[in-house]
Amino acid sequence: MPPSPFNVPEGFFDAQRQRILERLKEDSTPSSRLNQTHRGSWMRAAAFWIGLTGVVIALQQWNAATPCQSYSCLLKQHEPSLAIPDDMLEDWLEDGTLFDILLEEV
Amino acid sequence: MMSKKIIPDHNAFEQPDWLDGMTDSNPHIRSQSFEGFMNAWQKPIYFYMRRLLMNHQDADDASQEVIIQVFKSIDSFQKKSTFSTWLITIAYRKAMDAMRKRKTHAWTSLDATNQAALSHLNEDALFDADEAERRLHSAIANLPPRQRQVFILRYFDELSFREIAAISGKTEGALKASFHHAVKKVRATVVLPR
Repeated sequence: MPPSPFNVPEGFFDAQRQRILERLKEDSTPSSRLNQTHRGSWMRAAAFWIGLTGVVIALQQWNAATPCQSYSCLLKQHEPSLAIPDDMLEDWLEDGTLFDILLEEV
Repeated sequence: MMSKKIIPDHNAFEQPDWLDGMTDSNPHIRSQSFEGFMNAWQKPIYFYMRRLLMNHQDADDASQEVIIQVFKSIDSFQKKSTFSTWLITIAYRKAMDAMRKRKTHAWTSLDATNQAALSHLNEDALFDADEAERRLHSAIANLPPRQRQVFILRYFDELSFREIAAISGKTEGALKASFHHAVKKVRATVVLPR
């Protein structure tokens, strides 16, 4: 291992190894598997009821919705999202040409 | 440039002898494989995370998550790539998640300055470097997540763009652009007068 400016507390790697081993053992114990199965059935039931409620609400909204006659009505019904994923933002930032154009304009 | 590789050379670990034992039904063999894996990869994974996240606690948490993930999903490893590529892919994704979660830290936010990152490193008792290295790492800390990853994998670990593409799922062209921008930013910071 080459010299690194990053140091660790004394005995850190042994302690971390121990913690990982314990976590792996916990994950593979029968009781935790049982809990996971139990939790899994609860989650399936919850997902079913949430899904059912969603379908009911969607049907109600679909029945209540009136067809739009204007752009403002469409905008209200389909509010545009301005959330930009990090990947896309990075792609834009890495596009040097776009950045240069923007800088020139500013 | 002095080599600062922390990721072991791929050839040496292309088919590690402990690999098959990781899924063996015999607990003794599994335990031996665990030791083999940890001896080979525990430190490289930790230091990879530490270079990206800077802080010991975050690197500890993230490297632990990677190792747990490796053992949980080893059954899905189909040996279509080298084990190291598969492992670094997991580490890459976990690091990406960790860096994005930490955007709330003042010194990694968009308007953070290199000075803030430098102060963070100066206060870190577990960081021991000269002034040039401090400035280099503070500049790296201010890069956006993907540029940071590409810079570290290329500059420190000397991976090829093809290898980084296999790890990140990005095209070589996009990675070269990321690296180019990262180098430009790092150079601008490192040569700045005090």
